[in-house]
Amino acid sequence: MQREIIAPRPDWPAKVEALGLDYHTTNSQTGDGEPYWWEAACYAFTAAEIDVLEEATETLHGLCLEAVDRLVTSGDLDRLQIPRRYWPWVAESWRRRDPDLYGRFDLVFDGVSPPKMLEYNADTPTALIEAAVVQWYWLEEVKPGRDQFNSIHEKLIARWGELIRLAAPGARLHLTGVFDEAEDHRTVEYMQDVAGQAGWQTTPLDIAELGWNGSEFTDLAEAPIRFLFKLYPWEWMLRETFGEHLLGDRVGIVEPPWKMLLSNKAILPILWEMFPGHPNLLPAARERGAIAGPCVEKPIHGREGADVRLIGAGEAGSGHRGLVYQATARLPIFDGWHALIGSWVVGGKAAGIGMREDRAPITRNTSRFVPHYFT
Amino acid sequence: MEMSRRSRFVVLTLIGLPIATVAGASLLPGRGDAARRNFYDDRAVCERDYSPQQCEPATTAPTTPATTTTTGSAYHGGWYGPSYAANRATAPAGDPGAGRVGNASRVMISGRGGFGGTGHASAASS
Repeated sequence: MQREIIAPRPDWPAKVEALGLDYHTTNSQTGDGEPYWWEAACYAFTAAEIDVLEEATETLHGLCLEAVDRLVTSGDLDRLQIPRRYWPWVAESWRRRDPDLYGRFDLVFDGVSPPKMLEYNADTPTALIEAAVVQWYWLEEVKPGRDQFNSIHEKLIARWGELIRLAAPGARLHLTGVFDEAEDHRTVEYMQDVAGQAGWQTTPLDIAELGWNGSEFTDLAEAPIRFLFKLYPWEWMLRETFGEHLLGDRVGIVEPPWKMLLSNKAILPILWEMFPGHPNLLPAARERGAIAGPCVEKPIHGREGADVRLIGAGEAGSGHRGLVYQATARLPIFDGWHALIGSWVVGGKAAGIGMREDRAPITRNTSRFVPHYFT
Repeated sequence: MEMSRRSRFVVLTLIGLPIATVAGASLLPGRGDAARRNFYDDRAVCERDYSPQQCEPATTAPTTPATTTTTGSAYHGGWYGPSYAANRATAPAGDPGAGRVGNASRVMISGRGGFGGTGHASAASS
């Protein structure tokens, strides 16, 4: 695993914009932003390293499914701060094995030690277009003949194809998210694209435009919504006005309700309790005192690195409810950049990776996306 | 381990277009241009208002005061008529209207804004 300095394509902004990545620079409106898509460098892997990442990703996904089963069987979702009235509904979603689509593990990997799971973005993973599409086209042009761990696009179309066979030929899929956010809007648009290629009729609408007519969720044409892709966290939906209407199970939703058990960082100590010492896991606990040495304090519903805090050895945690503590695993540093691997899962299978890097040890939503290849 | 780790083709059909022109978005009324839909207890009654092709079986019954009852008859399955513009003055050509006879059991008017508060607040502050 290496970081290479390379010459960016002179016209890279136009090229990535043509692929939907029009948020390639932070604060692009003010003109003082930093590049988010960064192709003046790339990461190079060996095929053996990619094998390790692929195997670790599928192993971790398997452990996560075991953890969901354990949680549902125990019936205690209080640790995840899921409101009690939703517990049977979430459990039933798992018992039915409502089909899921995708997720992204954040992994620490230096090419030598086993990959370690930092978290599983199992509900609303982003950085999708850059991983599935933009870096694929980058490879075609910049590193032709090289390989890339990235069949995300193909696997998404295949998975949407499986889902429509479970629904009905030509079924309509509504897709929603916060369209004020450029990345979210583009991600929903991309999902509309791949679902359409798999045979779904598609209708996008902003999350605030979802209607409730007294018995069904509806779109702006008052048509009932039967199947919904949502790029909107479950923990927000459950606490909003229409949340209680979800309990009727009138809509097939992707990601399904049981995925909220995995996108919640309270799953980290549960995994460690179930599989102590597993080479792909880090020690994690609900109490600061249970983790020796330095650790990371994470809110269970945190997103994109928000409110994540490094805590030194001997330093106390905040002690608030809704936090978990995970042993520190330092990201490898290349040319002063901390590198993190986002490893995608589609339909339960490892599908590819996206590299993020940051000067700081905590990866945030503004951390650069850098393409990769392997030989 | 599979042999190919890479998509053979990455073809996009929507991406790259200005967001406002994405297929599907233009098929819906804009925000504030409310739509209506009639609910019928009987298929025959629906077909008095609309053509048979425009009447669609409902899977669940409307139950709450979010709808306006015009006849109040009981639910025995139910049928939806087509969506139509609430404002006749701005309705597009071909809009099916409120029905030829107007025998709907209920006129469906969805409440909106029940999701999205957290996300839009977050977007506004970022």
